[in-house]
Amino acid sequence: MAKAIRLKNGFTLVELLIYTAIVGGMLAVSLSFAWQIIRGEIKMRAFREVQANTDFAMTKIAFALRDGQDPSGFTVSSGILYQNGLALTTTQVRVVNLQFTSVSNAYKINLEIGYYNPTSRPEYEAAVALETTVVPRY
Amino acid sequence: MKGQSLVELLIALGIFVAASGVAVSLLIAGYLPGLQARENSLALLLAEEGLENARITRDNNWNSLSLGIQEEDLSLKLTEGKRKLTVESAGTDRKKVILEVSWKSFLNQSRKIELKTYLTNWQKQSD
Repeated sequence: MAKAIRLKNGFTLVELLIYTAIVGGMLAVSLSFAWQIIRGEIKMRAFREVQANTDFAMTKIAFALRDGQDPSGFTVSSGILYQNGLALTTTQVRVVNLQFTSVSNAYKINLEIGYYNPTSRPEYEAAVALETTVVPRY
Repeated sequence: MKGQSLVELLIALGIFVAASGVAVSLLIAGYLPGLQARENSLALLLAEEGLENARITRDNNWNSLSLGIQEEDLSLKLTEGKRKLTVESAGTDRKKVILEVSWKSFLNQSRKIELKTYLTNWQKQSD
């Protein structure tokens, strides 16, 4: 009698092992998912920052050149882009390339901006390169 | 019978997996517009560049802005990227310029941006 009750209420060692294996597997899968999502979010944030900076800088440059201003108003100092001394990009990004090529009476603009990543960590690797041509309006 | 059977546990596990699958797919779907934005802003600037090139031609010589279609390869910048310039007559000293940039997105969908403007022969000397 006493033996039967003990069998009904308790766990066997095999049941405990199966349970542990299932929970362990679930934890491992969800943790790796969570880790991937966190890394993805970090990378997307870096990418969005770079994208927003590049779009903004390109808009400002194109606007100024259409207005007939000289490209020498735009300077890059330790990776930060300045328009007549005012910073156009944030400290989170670095200008990799800014080039003005004279075409006829227009300018071809090449702009590349990357995320500030001094330790070369893969999740911070993000860069956007844009190019366009702008004709000054008379 | 107070405990859970293996079947119950498996059902619970199934629900959990389905729910997290939905959550992950929503998350990924949330990233796509951001990645699409990169191609869009690049394509828009390339389209504007095409229009500005037509403007340069117009400024140099009105007559060299010839009517018809011109295609240009942009595959180095966008997957299967193409830039198509269409110039149509729109009356005396007036031309309609249509610039289309088309490409294959990273999801392998066909995408295009179309810009239109009218250019006039503003440098024409009056007789």
